[in-house]
Order: sequence, then structure tokens, then C-alpha cells
Amino acid sequence: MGRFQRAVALALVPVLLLTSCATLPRELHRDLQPPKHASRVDSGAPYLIAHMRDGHAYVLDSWTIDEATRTVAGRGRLLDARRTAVGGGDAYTIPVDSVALFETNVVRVPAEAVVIAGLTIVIGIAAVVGLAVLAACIADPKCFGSCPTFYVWDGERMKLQAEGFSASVSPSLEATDVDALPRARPDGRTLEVVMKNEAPETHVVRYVHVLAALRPPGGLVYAATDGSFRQVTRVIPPRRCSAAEGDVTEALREFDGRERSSVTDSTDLAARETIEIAFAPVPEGEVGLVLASRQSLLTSYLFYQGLAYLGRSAGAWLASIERGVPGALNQAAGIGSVLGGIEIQTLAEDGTWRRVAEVRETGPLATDVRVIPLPAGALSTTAPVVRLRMARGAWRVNQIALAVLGGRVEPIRLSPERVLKEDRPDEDARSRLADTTRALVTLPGDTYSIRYRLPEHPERYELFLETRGYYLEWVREQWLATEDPVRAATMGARPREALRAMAPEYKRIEAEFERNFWGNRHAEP
Amino acid sequence: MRNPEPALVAAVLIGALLLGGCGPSIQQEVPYLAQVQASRMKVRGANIRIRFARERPARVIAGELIAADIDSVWVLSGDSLTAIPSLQLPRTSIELSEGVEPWLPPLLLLQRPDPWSWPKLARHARFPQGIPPGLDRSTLAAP
Repeated sequence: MGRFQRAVALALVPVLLLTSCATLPRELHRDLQPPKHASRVDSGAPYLIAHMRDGHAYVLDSWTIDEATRTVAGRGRLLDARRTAVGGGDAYTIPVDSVALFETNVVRVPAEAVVIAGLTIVIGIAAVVGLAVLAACIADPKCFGSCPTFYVWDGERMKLQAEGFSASVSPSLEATDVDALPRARPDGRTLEVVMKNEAPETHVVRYVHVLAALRPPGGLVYAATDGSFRQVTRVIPPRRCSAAEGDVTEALREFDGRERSSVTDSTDLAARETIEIAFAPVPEGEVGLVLASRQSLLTSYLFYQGLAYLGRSAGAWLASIERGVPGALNQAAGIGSVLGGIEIQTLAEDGTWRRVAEVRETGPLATDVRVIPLPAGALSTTAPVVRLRMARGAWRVNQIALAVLGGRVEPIRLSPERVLKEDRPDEDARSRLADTTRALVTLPGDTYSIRYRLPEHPERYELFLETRGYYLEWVREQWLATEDPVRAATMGARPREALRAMAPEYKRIEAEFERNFWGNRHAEP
Repeated sequence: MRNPEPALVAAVLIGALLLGGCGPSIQQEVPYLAQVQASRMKVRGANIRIRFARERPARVIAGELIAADIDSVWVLSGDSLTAIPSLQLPRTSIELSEGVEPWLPPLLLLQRPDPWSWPKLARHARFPQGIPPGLDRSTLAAP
């Protein structure tokens, strides 16, 4: 945090004190405990009701529960089943086991409100400490989020090669993400990975491992969508790829940064398109589809527009996900389900299309490569044809190929050997990244250089980055201008309708949005 | 002196806000809730109004919630104790309130509750543990 930001932060603390906590809601919390859990009774409650098995009730305004003698001692009143007082102001000693239920009633701030307040305060602090970042964001579409970004040397420069756990926007959504690093060029046995926080977000990074998987002689290793790592002895490029605009084979033949993309439908963001790919005959045996792709900015737009529509209630929504409120996550997932991933279909021998898989790698920044094992018999071996079906304008596809699959390989998992922050060793950060029970928390502008020691003969290994964690978005002040609870509710409850309603709006900004975003240094996939 | 870590500054700010900013306001009690809290010392059940909207004319049972269990919801209306089978709950809408003002604001609103909603009701009953065995039900009315 810079001096200016710290000064502003300290200056604004009194403002936050006055504004952020004045309206915390209260609730009357009624707690009921059976006698076997007498020790859980809230000793701070103003009174205790002991509901007796025969219907009588003791109301005690001062009491103690003695675990050793299994008795409750206190002063108060005894009411019969009609609730007529049969004694008052007396001292009582009651056997715990004659009680049916203990009841306490406490006025308190509900836990959810504390969570909301916490998130609100985080947002408030974000507004304070991130003023400079936010100011820059107004003019910089890059600030439409990035999650942790990872740069690795590609032989010429440090290149963005992975983005970590992009879908983990809340603590309960913490997840592991594996990204291939096919362009990584280690310096001997040392691999440097630079991790950056480049957006107004708080990143909670559980770990960053490098996975080294032994290649077969003359072959490759791909991460498979079933979580395994598969050796590949032969890659078969496409003969012809056809999309609505015509032949797109050149763009999809190699993993070379040339991508095939399209624009969204102007009336429905969920409208589908297809790419049909024909291959040369493949040998008998297990075959997979190699797919290198990343999302367009459409999903980022929808996510951030959703947060903007939620506005001041965004914190409450995130808190409801944390509390596991039924439906909260489904509401969030609704848009994603309707938008869908990349559906993979194969043309069977009988001429029918068969859906065999769907790929949903989240993130618009770094292209990820993985192999999708195809079910036996799903593909004709003499004239294999595959079709990709996806929402128009939602995906950028870099490479499609068939792979002859070999055995599974267990990669070597490498923890950071050294971590540097601002060119200085940061042992605390290293130990946090090495200990999977702890986490490294990063704020906007933080950059860590993470060094790994690779096995001998590193050229024999395929490298992957395995990251785990979650991140918290900072609701940008300018988003509050578009707060719209009705639209937010529509996105949650009627996602198909929302995607149609938002189509013209996105269409108006689509070209410029993409151009501006990719005009900055994150532009190269 | 070494500059504090941003995370530490944030933690201190959050702590200051929660303790300094929220502490005093947490202690303030909302009059309505305090009233409900005090009224519960009488250990009476919540006011309940069960409306069978599909019946013509719509039937309403109102009174004190005595107990609720997997079989029945028990309501005391005057001297009369009525048992509503839990299986009938989906045909009803239910309002609950506690405190001096019987119906404002409602504590709980259930629209067409399923039969498994009874635990939500039981915690607001005179007998949250259920009807005591051997209780003479004719003696429940307030004197």
C-alpha cells in the first residue's frame, strides 16, 4: 500500500466508522437445547427457560448449570402447564435429566449480518486503499477482473501462460485449477513463475505447485478432463475445419496463438454456433480430442454486470453463497448453465451426432490446452468428424487435434523453492505457499516471483501449473450507478430471458470492449 | 520502522470498524425484539393464524400455538384445543407473531408449508418439546 493510499485510508476510517455499522440488523435468536447438551446453553442469555417433561416451566433469571452434579441451580419462577405461577422469587435446584428442553432468547446481530458487514467493510476498505487502482480502472477495461495471473518465460519474454481458479469468486467456491504450460522454457533446472494480482481483487492463494510429467519418447503429455495426465504418442491435426464464416482450418491447426472467434448474436447471447472438423483416419485404440481454448469477454461481462445490478446487495448475495442458502448458488450458476461450455459431438458410423463431452474452462486471459478422452466407438476410425457446439461469441479456439492416447502418468508435484517479493526473499510467502493448510493473501499490485527446482533433464518433462484458492471482487464504485435489483433477479431466476434482454446492450459495446481489453499488454493469448 | 503489511493494515481496520464502530450499536436493543424477548418469559406460545384458503368460505384457526409435532399442530382458541393434522399444512398459509401486538409484525409467514415444516413451528410453541405425556388437555386454557 502506498503512502498516499495509507493516508487516505486513515483519513477515511472515521467516515467508515460512522457509516458502515450504523444499521446492522438484529434478530431474536431462540436456542433450544436438550438436556444432553446442557453445556451448550448460552450462559450470557438474560433468562433461562427449563421446559419440564410434565409441562411445567422454570423461568430463571440467574442460574448455573453444574455439569458434575447434573443440576441447574437458580432463582426465578415456576409456571404450571397453564402457565399459572406456582412459585416466584424462589431458589430452585433442578435435575438436568428431568428437563425436556432448555430455551434461551437473545437479541443479537445475526451471523449473516456480520458476514455482510465484513464484506461491506472489505468493499469499503477496497474503496479506500484502492483509490488509485479504481481511478485507473474507470479508463481501463482490464479491470474487469483477472484472478491471479501467472507469467512464465517462453524463450523471449515473461508471457502470460495461466490464470488461477478463475471461477472461485467466494471462499466456499475455493477450487483447484490445472493449467498446461506448453510454452514454458525453464532456465536449466530453474523455473520462474511470476504471480500477479492485477485487478481490484483480494486473492487468497492456497498453493501454487508446478507439476512435471514425464513425456514418452518423442511424445507429449496432456492434462485430461477426467483429472488424469495422459501420455500422447501422436497428434493428428485437422484436415478441414468449417464454421459459419467458411474454412477456419489454418487458425485451428496449431497451438500458435492464432485463434478462431466469432461475435455474439444480437438478439440472444445464448444462440449457438458450430465448428465441424474432419480428420484423417485414426488408428484403432484410445483417442482423445486436444482442445486449446479460452473464453471471450462475454462471461466476464455477464459476471460483472450481474454484480453491478446487485450493487449494494452484492455482499449479501456473496454471503448467502457462503451460508449455503438454498438456491443462491443455483441462481448464480443459471446464466452459466444456459450459456454453456464447448459441447463436443462426434459423428458416429450410423451418421448421427453424439454428444460426448462438454468443456467449461473458466477464464478469458490464458489459453488452456487439455485432452478430452473420447468414448470407445464414438468416432469413426476411417472418416473421423467432430463438431464443437457453443454459444456464439463466447469462446476463442486456438487448436483442435486428435491424439492417440498412451498411458497415464503421475506428475511430480513441486513446491516453491524460493519466493521473492520486490526482488527480496519472502520466506513467509514461501512457507504459506508450501503449507496447504495456510494461504497467501495478495492485494492489487502485488507481484511474487516463485522459483521451482525442476527434476534432472527438465526437457523430458511436460510442465503444468496447479493452483488452489479463491478471490474476492471489490465492487467498483462506478458499478453502483447501474444497480438494478429487478435485472439482477431476472439474471438469477430467468437466465434465458436475461441473456436475450442483455444481447443488444452487449452488442453495442462488444467490438470496442474486446479491442480495448486486448489493446493492453494482457492481449496476447 | 518497517511499514506494516497491507493485509495487517486491512485486518486492523476491520477490527477497528467491528469493535469501535459496531460495538456500541450492537448493544442497542430494538424495542420490538426486546418486547418479544420479555413476553417469552411468560412461556406462552406464539399467536398463530392458520388459513385454509382453498376452503369456501376460507376457514381460519387462530389462537395460541401449543405444540407442533410430526403428526399435528395444536392451537388453543379460547377454551378449545384444535389439532390440525400436519398432512393438511400444504393447504394452508400460516402467520405467527409473538409479543404484545398480536399480528404486527409477523414473526413467521409460511405459504403452503410442507408437513415437515412442523419443527419451524414447534420452537415458537408453549411446549416446544411437544404435548407433555399425561397432560390433561382440558386444563390448558388461561385462567
